[in-house]
Amino acid sequence: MVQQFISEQLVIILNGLSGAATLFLLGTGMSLIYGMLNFLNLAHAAFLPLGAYLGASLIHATVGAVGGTLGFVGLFVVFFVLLLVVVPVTVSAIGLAMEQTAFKPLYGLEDDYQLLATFGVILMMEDAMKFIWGGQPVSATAPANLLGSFSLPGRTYPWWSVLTILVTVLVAATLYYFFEETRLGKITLAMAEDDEAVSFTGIDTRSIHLKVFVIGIALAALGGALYLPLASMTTGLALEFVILAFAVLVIGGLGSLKGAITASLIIGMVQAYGSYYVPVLELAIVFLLMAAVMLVKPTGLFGEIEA
Amino acid sequence: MASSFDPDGEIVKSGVPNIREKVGRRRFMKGAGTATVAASMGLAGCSNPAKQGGGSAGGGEIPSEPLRMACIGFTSGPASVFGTPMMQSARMVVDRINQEGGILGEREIEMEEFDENVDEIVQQYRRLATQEDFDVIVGYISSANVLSIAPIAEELGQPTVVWDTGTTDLFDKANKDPQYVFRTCASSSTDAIGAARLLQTALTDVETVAGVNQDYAFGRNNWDLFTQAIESLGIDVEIVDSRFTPFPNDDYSSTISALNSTNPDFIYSSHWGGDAVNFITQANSQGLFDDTLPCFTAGSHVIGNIPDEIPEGIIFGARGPHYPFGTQQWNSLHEQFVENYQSEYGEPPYAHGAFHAWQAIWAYVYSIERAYNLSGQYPTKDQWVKSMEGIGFNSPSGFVNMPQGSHNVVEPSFYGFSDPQEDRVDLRDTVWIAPEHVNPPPSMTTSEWISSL
Repeated sequence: MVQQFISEQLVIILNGLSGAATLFLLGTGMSLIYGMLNFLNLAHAAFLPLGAYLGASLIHATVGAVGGTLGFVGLFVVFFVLLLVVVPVTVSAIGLAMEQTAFKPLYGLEDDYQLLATFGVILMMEDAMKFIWGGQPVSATAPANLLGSFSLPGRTYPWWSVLTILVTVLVAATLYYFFEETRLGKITLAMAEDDEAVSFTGIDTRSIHLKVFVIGIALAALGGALYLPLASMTTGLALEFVILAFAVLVIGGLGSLKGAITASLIIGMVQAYGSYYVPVLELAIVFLLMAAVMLVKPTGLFGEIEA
Repeated sequence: MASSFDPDGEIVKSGVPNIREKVGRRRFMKGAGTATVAASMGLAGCSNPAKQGGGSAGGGEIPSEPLRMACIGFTSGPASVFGTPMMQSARMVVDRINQEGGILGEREIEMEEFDENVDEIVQQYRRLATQEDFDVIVGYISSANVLSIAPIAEELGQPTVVWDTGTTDLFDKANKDPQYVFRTCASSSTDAIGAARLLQTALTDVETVAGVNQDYAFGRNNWDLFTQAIESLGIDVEIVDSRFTPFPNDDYSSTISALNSTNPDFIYSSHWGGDAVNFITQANSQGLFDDTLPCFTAGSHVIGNIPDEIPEGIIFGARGPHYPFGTQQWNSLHEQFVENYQSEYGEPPYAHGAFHAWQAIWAYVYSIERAYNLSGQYPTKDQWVKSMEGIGFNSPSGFVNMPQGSHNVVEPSFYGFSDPQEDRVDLRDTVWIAPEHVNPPPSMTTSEWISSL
């Protein structure tokens, strides 16, 4: 009985952490980009399904081309390189091209115009993905199937979720180190506080903007690539993710890495425990959380920029 | 000894559909001789109602302008998994009719497509009915949407053919005295009572049951009917959990963990579309189906989307006898339809909505042609209503029948076990349950009828 309870709690916690991992990878970029560029880019959420769709195509191509001939280790390395390197790099290249063409003209506009324009971009990206990958669900479970599951009393749990959590912890740690310990990171944070003052020192802020933008997009694409093997992609996902990304932004505070980490963890765990024990609140729970945080601290838990 | 009959009334095989092997492995079956509820449908020979009265009348003027038909279904969002094949089927059916000259061989159909994935479904309906003046509005996949528009259809006197939505609340609550609204597919009653009868007669070793359904009109309605039927039929099972998941949804990890904890013998789920795809994918990875028998009452269409994710032996239904493969290839219309669809779109019509689109459009065309042949005049909309009432015709899914006094078609309940093949997943050991065992008579609401069982 006790063993059963422990395994139940462990699974809920793992569910919460893997949900938090996806949210962190999605929300961090959006939050940093808003913090630094004062650019509220709703379209950021569309890069997650884009990464997943691209990942699915690459996985299918790999499985079709080499199948099981590479063996477990070989195939896993190929999957890992595709999902963790090729997908983020390719999607961030697409993001960079979009930054130069679609987003750059929006930088000086008021928030509400940015919201409307970037929402339009989401819809266009959704249609583009539907055009390329079709309206049917696209899944690529081969990497998760390859890793398999481990047993707990009364249940099994996929290793892929554990891998997702570990990769995200590594990414979060790297980002933390970058922002806290490196010169470029410190400049980036300073720019989030006062962009103009930093530019007076002769630093090329535009180049740093672009770097942060590309990192943000790459993180969202990585989120999609890690999310893919345990789910399937259908059109409309970008619109679902935009709400969650927005929740990370609001709860954590704009432009804060600590905020993104904390908010993702809170949302992930509250969703996992909430939908387990109070399933009727599954849909409302994130909004209740957002409302509660905004009542207590309108700038978000770690936000210092006025919302 | 019970017999199984296909929807055309032909005996498929005598005795019990062979589901012993599967349920035996799961220790659910109580020996041989368990009966399915399938029975004769007692169908009248009425294969093409358009021919009724043919030769004795006709000759009246047929409008020269094309008939304007609005078709509404989800062509975007996660539900497009289901809606897109449905719309493709509608397009194909209308093209075939037009190639033959159109309705009565003379009046072409001008079909326009509309996405159901809009916030203002009522406004969209009003606009199509009043400003755009469509002769007939055919559509709706979402139960919630059809509950909203049904009263408006009656208010406006707009001929409306509901082609896929399932909730029994449509004619039991939202539109109790329908005139211009017809539903040309079976309601959720078919699935829910069918699944309960499956437990009663074939899966008698099931002791614990859980439900996981989408949290909107269709999912709630399904679970209510199923639990009512369990109680009314006196089936000896314990309901250990009932969960309603947001619609649409992509993360089922907590729901699956919770179901793993209660570890039911049988799961009733009316999930469909992208939600069903995600639920099944994630349930597999968390081992939910290892010692639990899930029954997806309206989910067989996802087999075409994720064949690799479908383990052997899951129970699938299709809101009626709609499936391209397995043991269902039992009439020439079915064969033609599957073949045409496959050659047109490069994939088989897994989505039962594709079959429902066929039924809806042909029901409308047949009713116009029947009225014309009987009266000699192209029917007014009130004459069309009279012609639709009691219509019955052969379809790719067998005989489609709208009992006199009802505006709702009844269909047999249909279930089968997933059977992965090299290149696709079939359904094997299919169980048919005749319409009268899973649908209320026209004089009763579904709930009243279930209580009387």
